[in-house]
Amino acid sequence: MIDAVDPLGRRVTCDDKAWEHICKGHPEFLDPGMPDEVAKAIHEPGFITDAKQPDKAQAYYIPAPFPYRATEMVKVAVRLSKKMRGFVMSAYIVTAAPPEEVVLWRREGK
Amino acid sequence: MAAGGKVTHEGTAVTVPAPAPEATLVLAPSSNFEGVRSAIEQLGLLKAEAGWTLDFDAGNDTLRFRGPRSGPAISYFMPGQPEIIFRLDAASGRLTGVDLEQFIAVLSKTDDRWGLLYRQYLLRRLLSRVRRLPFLLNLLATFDRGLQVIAGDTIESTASTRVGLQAS
Repeated sequence: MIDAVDPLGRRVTCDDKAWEHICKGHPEFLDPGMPDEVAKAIHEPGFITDAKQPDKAQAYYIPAPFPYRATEMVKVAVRLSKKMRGFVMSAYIVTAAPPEEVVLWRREGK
Repeated sequence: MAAGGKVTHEGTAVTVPAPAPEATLVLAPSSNFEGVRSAIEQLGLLKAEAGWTLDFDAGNDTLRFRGPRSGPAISYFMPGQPEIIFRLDAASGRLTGVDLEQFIAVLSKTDDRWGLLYRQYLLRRLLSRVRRLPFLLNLLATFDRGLQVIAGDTIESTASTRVGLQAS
């Protein structure tokens, strides 16, 4: 369903079953355009954090699409595995990143 | 009509202006702090409103509360405790859910009340498997109410400590 490579070279995937699971808990991602937004968040993030779980998880952030406000962001939480792989755990619409998360990568100019 | 243009009616050209871009329908608070404050003010819903459900996602170690009208929402994390995430309806700002992430790994180790909540949840699941017995339906309903109140109280208490807001 989602198969993207992040700027750090990690391949991140999310199969249909995992996506259904995410949408069950977070129905804002039922919108047909949201899988593309999640893939974009992984492939072209504004910034990446350690999701407060160094070496275990990462979080990817990009500005949320319309009808959300320009200040809102799509956050994609990814569980890391060895061999540069990651699996999407969850996704949210948020207004900020928790300050406890350490920024690992940031797009230039942002 | 998707775009503006000229419409001819009985030979008269009338210019129809292009529609203004749709206004955003998001009315939930636009900052994390305001979102958390609004959620805490609405925690009474979690304790009093019928129809809230509790579900533990073992794969993601997340305990999820969902209100009866759960839909598209914006998530707000608790300052100082980002494992607690409030969900406010994107259109109305109404509290529709609470996610307790890293529940076993982190939260249950920070406060015994989370452990109590989890044990109550497990007991409730066990009871739901034998709900064919009529008297258990009443017991389950009582359990659900108890779980809602325990969860609401614990979240409210944690929030008032972390955010410095006076829980009402």
